[in-house]
Amino acid sequence: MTTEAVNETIKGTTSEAARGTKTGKALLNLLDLGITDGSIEFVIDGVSRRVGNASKMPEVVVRVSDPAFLDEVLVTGNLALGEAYMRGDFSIDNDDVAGFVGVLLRNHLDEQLVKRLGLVMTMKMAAIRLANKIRGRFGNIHLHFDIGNDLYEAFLDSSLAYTCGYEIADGKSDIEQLQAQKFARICKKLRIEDGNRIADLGCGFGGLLIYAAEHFAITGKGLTISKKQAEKANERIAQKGLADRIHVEYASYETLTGTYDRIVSVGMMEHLTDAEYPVCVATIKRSLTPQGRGLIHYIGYNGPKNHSDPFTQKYIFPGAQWPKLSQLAHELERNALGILDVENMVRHYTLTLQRWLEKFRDAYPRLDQKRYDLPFKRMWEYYLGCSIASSLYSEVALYQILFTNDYAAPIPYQRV
Amino acid sequence: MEERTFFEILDRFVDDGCLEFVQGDRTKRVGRNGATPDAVVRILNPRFFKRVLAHGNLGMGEAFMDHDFEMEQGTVTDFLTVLARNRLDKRLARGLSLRTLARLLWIRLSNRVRGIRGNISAHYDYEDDTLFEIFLDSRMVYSCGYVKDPGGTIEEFQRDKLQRMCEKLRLQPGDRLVDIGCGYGGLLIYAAQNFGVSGKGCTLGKRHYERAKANVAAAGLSDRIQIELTPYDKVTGKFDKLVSVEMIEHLQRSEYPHYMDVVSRLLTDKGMGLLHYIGCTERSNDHDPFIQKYILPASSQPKLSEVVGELEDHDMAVLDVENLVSHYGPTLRAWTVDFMNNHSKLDANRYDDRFKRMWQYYLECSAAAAFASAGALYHILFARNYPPPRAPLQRV
Repeated sequence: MTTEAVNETIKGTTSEAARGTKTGKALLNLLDLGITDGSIEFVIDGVSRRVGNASKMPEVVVRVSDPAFLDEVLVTGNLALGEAYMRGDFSIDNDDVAGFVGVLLRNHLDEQLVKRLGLVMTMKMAAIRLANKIRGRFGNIHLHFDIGNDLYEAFLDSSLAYTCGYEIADGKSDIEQLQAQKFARICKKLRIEDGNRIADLGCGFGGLLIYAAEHFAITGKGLTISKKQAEKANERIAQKGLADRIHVEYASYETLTGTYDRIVSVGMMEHLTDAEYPVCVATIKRSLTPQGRGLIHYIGYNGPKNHSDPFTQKYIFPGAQWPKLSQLAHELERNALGILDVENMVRHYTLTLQRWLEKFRDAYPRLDQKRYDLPFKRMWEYYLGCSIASSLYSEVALYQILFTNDYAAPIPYQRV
Repeated sequence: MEERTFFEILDRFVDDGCLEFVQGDRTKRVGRNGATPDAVVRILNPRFFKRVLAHGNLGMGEAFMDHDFEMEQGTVTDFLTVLARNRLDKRLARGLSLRTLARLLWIRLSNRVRGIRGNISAHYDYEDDTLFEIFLDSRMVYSCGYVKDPGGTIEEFQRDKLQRMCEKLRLQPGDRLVDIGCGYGGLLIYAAQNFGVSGKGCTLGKRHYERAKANVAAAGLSDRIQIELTPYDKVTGKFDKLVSVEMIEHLQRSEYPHYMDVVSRLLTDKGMGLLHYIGCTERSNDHDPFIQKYILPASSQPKLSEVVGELEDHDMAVLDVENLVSHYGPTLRAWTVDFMNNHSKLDANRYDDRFKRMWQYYLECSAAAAFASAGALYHILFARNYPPPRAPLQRV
């Protein structure tokens, strides 16, 4: 969402009746009962109240300047929390959003809240979903990815990879290394060889394609439905002198033509609806050579229901949902694409998100403060903080599924 | 008539590899021109063609048991691998007659009626363990090994498999481990000796139970490991780690939800489990008719999506999936070699020639399936809740 849109939306989300008349006691009591692992200190009007396990030092201190939102949280959950944080109705010492949301998730407060969420939330959620559906996939991608390349340049690595990286050591790598190590690992898993033709569905700024072209004598094509990404990607490809071997098209995945030895898709599945999974996997099947291999890298969901958080739905990734492993495995099976390996790299996501957050905070003073004002900054911090917490304490997964179109071919004994 | 059809099909579809068939003084080659044959098959009884066309692999297996053909060059595995690689198994099965289908249905039905306990006994409770002793490793682990070097021994394959499973589960001293379908107890004993765990195993095989108990006692671990002769859903207690090796293949698909209820109930909040099973990468998970009838009645090969779907429905998080199907080839090859070298030690009154040929065919066609079919060997590592926050970043 752009800054203007954010301000427009959060204005007046707190109902007038609620403002200043309630104290949020109900929420604090619920937290006190629900939190057994850890504790949180709330400071409201100079009075402090500790909730959770009283024998433990509080992990986070929350300072509330306008308590009205506390009652909203009981109605709309994380959406109200996020919007209140953006408005500055509360702050967290050290801006530790991840620590705060982490305590809630660790104690399954999200489930308790969801159980209490009534009709209002159901309707709000439905309204958000409906708006996203009407806007369609192109519009949603535009909303998130066309905010401005300067923002992404500020917090991502130089290849502008906006997906989970891979740590080969003990967590000390910077974001530059994390992304390069991820590219190397994907190439290794796919056993990319000189002469291969590669397609990258949802290629973003082309980082993976460029990496592959720099390390192997490959040719290839990337598709993205963000115009800014396509332009920028081709610019970078030209700068590196790779334009004769790889290029990026502003087009949707299902328009892919030709056949490829390797097909990769990193961080695109999340932007498709369930109904599109069969189309996407069928596209891969029809575009792979008989000996071809593929890899899908995506944020998945480990639970009965494939859902996405309302805050993320509304502000960050409109229309996104996390596919379950069983859903994609089923599509691969239906298309006789043999599954060789699945890695859940969610721990690496925690690390990647932490690096992004550090870099964003570092770079924020240098960003255009008119386009990225304080509520925007707080929205972005809240989004990254929540994502860190859910990567640690929720059903979120980060899956890499490796598969082959030639299951009868010999498979190496040791995996990557 | 059948002979002509048989060769017509092979001529049309075998292009990867080459086979030679000898009948009397006639020879017939199919497949790649000018290549050295991967296998030479001598047809001893022409009913071979009819049996194969009518019943696919079931007919082929019975033809082998009855000496309708023998291998003149190469092994049964070599022969079947060429067929599997060219998808002949699918093509022959497509022409299944109504009679075959009825027969298949009858096999399934009779297995269902007998129930799981009866089926396990049918496969595993031959009167003593001599059959398994002559081809398994010293721990008598009857499941796919882990191959570091394909020239290694079955002893190494199984030890490396047990070690790998323990490492994936990050077993540590003091952990309580439960093994659902524990066989002769090899994994539990290994984990107790090398990782300091205690635990419990359950099995439906009476011979498994007795021998596993004896093995545990011989290792001096009776105070740490319990073996129970009981259905998996009667096991009680809470465990930090759970394993189940080549067990869910014996369950009806309708039983998967109940099985996962039990898995979830047995694990502590921060618990982890590892399922090791023979799966299928394609649409249908129907097991081969020969295996159905003679070897593992009522078994099936669950698809990854089926098992993962059950884990998701039970809110358990999948951490890692490894497809080890290539490791089954060397495992089965090692078993076959040991079986062929040692089967003369078997009591001829109880294990006649037809039985031995059945067992050989089973091992060899399973190897072919591992080399060139839609079969899979999945290791699914999962957490009872969300993935451990302080888990190591790199997988095993």
